[in-house]
Amino acid sequence: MIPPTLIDAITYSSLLGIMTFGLSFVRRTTGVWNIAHAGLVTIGAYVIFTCTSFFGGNPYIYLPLAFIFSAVIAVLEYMLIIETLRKRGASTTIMLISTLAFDLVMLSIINIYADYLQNTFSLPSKNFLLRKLDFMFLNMPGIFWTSLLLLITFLTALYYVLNYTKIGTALRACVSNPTLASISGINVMHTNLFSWLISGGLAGVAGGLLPLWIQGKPVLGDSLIAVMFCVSIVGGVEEIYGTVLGGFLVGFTQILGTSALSMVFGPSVILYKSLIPMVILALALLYAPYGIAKINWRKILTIIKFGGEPKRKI
Amino acid sequence: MLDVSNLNAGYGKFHVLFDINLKCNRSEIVSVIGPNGSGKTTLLNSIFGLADIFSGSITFDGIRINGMLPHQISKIGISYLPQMNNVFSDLSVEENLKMAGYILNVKELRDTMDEVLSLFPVLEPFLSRKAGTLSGGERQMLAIAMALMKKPRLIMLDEPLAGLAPLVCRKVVEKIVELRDKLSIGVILVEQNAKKALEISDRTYLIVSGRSVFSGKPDELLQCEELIELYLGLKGKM
Repeated sequence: MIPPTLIDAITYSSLLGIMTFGLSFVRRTTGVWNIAHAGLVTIGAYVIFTCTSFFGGNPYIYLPLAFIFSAVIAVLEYMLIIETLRKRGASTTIMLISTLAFDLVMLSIINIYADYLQNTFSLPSKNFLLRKLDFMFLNMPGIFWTSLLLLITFLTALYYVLNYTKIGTALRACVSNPTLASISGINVMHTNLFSWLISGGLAGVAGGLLPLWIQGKPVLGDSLIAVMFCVSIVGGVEEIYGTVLGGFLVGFTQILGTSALSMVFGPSVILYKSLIPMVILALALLYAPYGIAKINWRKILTIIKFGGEPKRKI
Repeated sequence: MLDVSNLNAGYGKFHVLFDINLKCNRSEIVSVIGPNGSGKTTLLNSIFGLADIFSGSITFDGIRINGMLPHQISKIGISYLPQMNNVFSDLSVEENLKMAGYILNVKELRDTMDEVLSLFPVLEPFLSRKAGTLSGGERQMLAIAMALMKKPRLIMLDEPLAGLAPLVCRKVVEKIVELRDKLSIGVILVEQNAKKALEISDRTYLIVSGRSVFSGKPDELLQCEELIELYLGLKGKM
């Protein structure tokens, strides 16, 4: 039997991995940190909440719909904002700020929608938890199995797409050298759209899964955006599996660390739970600025083994 | 084949080229020479849709290509080999060639890759190696091979000899001549090494401060001592 804290840590880490993957993917392919990724997560949660409230049934069957909704909005964001700004020669900082503005617009629309659901249909749309709709398998909640399985599936599928398909190689080519890619006949805008579509879709799926584990609310995504950035930077945006490493490091440290600290200092420590990812982020920026996926472990092991870097023979 | 007439171009509000005219036919090497910062690269960028065109026209086989995007231009039979960053460093040599032939179908891609590798056998042992790990000469060979993957009728080379060792330089020059003589491809060669460029070209253009100051046969240019001394610093060296 796996201890409940460990189940929580694995679930949280898997959800962080799925959620953050899109953030890193878009940063890697188009050079933009998309703060509106938070809003895309929330949209996924509201798609699942709306569907289960009106049509009933298992929340998991609506996950494809959450993927589609968030993916379409991510594509619109790219087409209407990022591509327009890019054509006007805007810097990445301007684009980052524009995504923040887009996130605020989405947050307002989600709030209006939540109010509408609450006032018109008397639904608890400002605070909802769908745990009671989840299934159990081997005495463990469905969200544990689903999040872990989806993370592994997405990661394997994306690894395959990026390395063994034409569109995947084109995507890597666009990341490596966008001008040369367009000279080679690759439509860079199409490949960028593809990455935004995947990124938005994954945010929607992660958002759809979240209310099965934590409370859904209009600021659901925004309350997690700092942790998502932390996972992305700690894991490293250059490697596809960096987000997973970052997700598991941050998720495990946050859940198990808080649990261990609360046993020593009392339950008040839980209030400072969100400080843990920030400490990890600070340490990562100091000692592994390119993320843990880029750490040269062989070099570190050599240093540990020999007490310093071996001198070269001249 | 390619006809550039009265081209005025630049970047944003920055005007670089003034009333440039240029022609390039099949099986012809046309060199574009001139001092640093004269607008040679901007001319190639304008043809390939990477710079802003203010006025004038560019036609290729009768099709007006002004305003077309680079990925659209690459489909009509023009290849461009930029001076810097002309290979995908993070991709393997094989992936580089595949991406260069992105517009081809699977069978065409396989056949063209075989043809190109037979022209550049030096690349064969490195197919699985990342392009970023190749030497300067090997990388330049890969870049030319990539430009050929689309089976172009016109190829534009931006300083393909820059930074190469003399022996490698000779090999690249041989390949450029081969493009014209064996594959009947038209070549526009932008080169700082005016001596080398004039040796192999059929016609030449001298561009200074964004304006064309000479167009004609290389021999004719070499007779204008004032021009070659003033702009190319080649007096007594040819």
